[in-house]
Amino acid sequence: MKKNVNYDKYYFIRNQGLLLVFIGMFIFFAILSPYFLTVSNIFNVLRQSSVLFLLAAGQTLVVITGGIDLSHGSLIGLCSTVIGLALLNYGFLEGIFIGLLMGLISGVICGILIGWRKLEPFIVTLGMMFAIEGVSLIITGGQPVFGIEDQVLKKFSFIGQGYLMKVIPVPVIILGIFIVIMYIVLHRSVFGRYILAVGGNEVAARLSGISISKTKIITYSIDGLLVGIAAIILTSRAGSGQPLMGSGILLESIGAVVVGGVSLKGGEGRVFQVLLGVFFMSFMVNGLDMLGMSTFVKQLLIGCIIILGVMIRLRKTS
Amino acid sequence: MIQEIPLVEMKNITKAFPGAIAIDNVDFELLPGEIHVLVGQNGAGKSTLVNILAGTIKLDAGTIKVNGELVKFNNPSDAQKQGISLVPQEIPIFPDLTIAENIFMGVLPSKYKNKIFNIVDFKNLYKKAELALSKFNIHLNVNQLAGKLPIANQQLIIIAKALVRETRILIMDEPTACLGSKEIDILFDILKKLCAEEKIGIIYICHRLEEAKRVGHRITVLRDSRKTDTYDAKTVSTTTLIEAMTGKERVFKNFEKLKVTGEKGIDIYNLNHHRYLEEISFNISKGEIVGIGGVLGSGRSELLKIIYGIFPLDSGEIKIFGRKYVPSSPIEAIRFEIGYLPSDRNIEGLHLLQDVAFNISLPSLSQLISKINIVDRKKEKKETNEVVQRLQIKTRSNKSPVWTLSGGNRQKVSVAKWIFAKSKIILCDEPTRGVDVAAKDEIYQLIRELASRGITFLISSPDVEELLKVCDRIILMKMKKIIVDFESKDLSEKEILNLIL
Repeated sequence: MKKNVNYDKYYFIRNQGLLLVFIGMFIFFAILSPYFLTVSNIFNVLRQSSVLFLLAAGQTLVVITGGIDLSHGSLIGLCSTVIGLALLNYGFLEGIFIGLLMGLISGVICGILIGWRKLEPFIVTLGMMFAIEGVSLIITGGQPVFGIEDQVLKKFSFIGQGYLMKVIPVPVIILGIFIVIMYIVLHRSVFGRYILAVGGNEVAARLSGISISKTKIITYSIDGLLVGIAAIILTSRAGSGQPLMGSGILLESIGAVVVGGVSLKGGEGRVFQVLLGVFFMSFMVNGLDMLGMSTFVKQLLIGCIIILGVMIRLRKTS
Repeated sequence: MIQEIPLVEMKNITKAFPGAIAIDNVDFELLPGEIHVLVGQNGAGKSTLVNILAGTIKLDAGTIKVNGELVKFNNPSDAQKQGISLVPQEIPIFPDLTIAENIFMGVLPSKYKNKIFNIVDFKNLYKKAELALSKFNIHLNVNQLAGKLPIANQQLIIIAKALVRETRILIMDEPTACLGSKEIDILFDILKKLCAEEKIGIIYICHRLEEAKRVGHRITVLRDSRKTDTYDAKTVSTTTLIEAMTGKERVFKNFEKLKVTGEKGIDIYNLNHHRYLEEISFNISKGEIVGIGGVLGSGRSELLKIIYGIFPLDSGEIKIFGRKYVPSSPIEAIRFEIGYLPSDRNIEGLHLLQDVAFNISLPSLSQLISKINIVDRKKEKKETNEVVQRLQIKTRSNKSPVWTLSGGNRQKVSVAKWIFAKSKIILCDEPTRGVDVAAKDEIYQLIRELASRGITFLISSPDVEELLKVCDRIILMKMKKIIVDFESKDLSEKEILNLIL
């Protein structure tokens, strides 16, 4: 690294570097697999990205404040369970409502413990991870929630499986909407400024008149809400409430955030980075599938990519 | 003590930092069994001198002899090998380890004589630790956690830690700043005993002259990076020392006195805080610049923190522009149009990774919102640009991150925050710490100009020169209390030092 590099230029090059790798990978898969670059495949990947983006976006907000949320996976399971039960016993709107509410409640609890009681985010969300999974297993006895009425299920499955104008999957529309919302929240809103300030320098933020606890509580609440939305999409795709639906997804969401280049130390992060991280992960998994790579090799490659992402970030700070 | 080989002999020591000479051709000598006190005003070069001896700063020119042998220190461990230990102001203790572990950290006694099963011999450790502390005539359970001890005892542990490493030369940087008078007595007894019995040499930096005369054998005065002279602590008078510290009478009044309208600004009645303040009362008019002087630990920075709501207040009343104000948090202070510049702006004041505009607009984003809490970025750009230009902050643009700015300009960004927030009262804690000379004058001018437009300043500073230069009125604090309140033209630098030291 040369000294006296113009900071802004440097930043641009770094992001573009990741983008270039992504484009390179895209072309690589497009050449090797004839199915990779078809409209249906691209939409398919985008549809899968929508859940990952929602989770990664929530994770990013939390990570920017200097925390981490480990409860994503089990919270998805619990949300899915209660959505399933609500659909079974009440109806379509109640299902959606209860999914959002469940995510929000969990987020508020985390936020209060972390923001107001000043507990370690890692420990709180680790505890929540176990506790939430316990709750969903108690409710269901470990069994999926089946038997939802056909009429309700038909309406509900539109969210995860339906198409708009017969081409665009509904989750892709949701993805688009939330990219815009996240951009506004993070880069335009006062709240976005506050979380950057709290994560960047908590003391200075406090002295500037920002309420640290309020900011953190809101952050974890939004995070929980986003997990709730992700759970709605996943449940809709599965067609039943699955208490163990979210296993493995937590690490994917943290992975996407890290690969995108959001610092786990907090204080910085952009929607563009998250989006790139999400697309990187989804397209890579899809591309490797197309090439007929075994799941085991895929696992190995994902691990390597995550470490590579951290290395890129470290080069920047040194 | 005549004709003994000095423990330390420093000759023609010179050290320059970019922009300023910190130590200029200074000689210093320390004899075995001697307590040699270093005094001098802020920035006189005391810390640089001892840090050179402790190996943390490399010297530019000059020689150091330890026990008559020429030595060269590249890092602190070189100095430690020569038996030199520095006890800094902030006590470097491991709060979650026991007293015994703290003392022997790094040289813990091992149970077996091999490297593989390197298990700590705790029995032996506690015995050795008790022995080490018995020199001080204090009895502590060496098995308790060090973090739970009062600061005075933590200090003794650090001294004990130095002694078990066969320290011959102990450097103490303002050890009494946070101690009560009884604890100071105990510490001094111990230091004197160590010198008399173990023939250790102690270099002692301090701010209170009476202490210097009480504990020291000799006193060396530094002024403006040079050594003035070395005196015998028994015979020298306080007046001589102050004269040596200040040099010839200097007049700092470069500014015309500001006209004060007499409108009410800050009224403080009988403020108390169990650790930091006792019966503080004063009134400040709108548009006045009032300085609070005093040494470290006198309560001057804590006073600002209490007004700003960082520390809770025990009792007392504050009125801001005639309105009753109860400090509870910075949010409340900002509502009363109070701004605060912390002394360590990089750690407490600024978001270094974020850009200039982000930092300036942070406390007052509510000014910039359109609908639904969205920041109006055009307005932000325009208005922060105006402030940047008004304060003449040198930055490529207001989108540059703050860490790319120099110290003086960073401080201007902190001021700009509160100008942008339209604060009527700005509390400054050491406004020019770590700022070079030219930028200092710029900041003083800025403060004067802002005050002439009706902003009230309360400035806490250990630097008498700074107070005389920028303030119209000065309040001096000593041991948690206000000792005098005067128009700054009425007292000279010497008289002020006489009062606060």
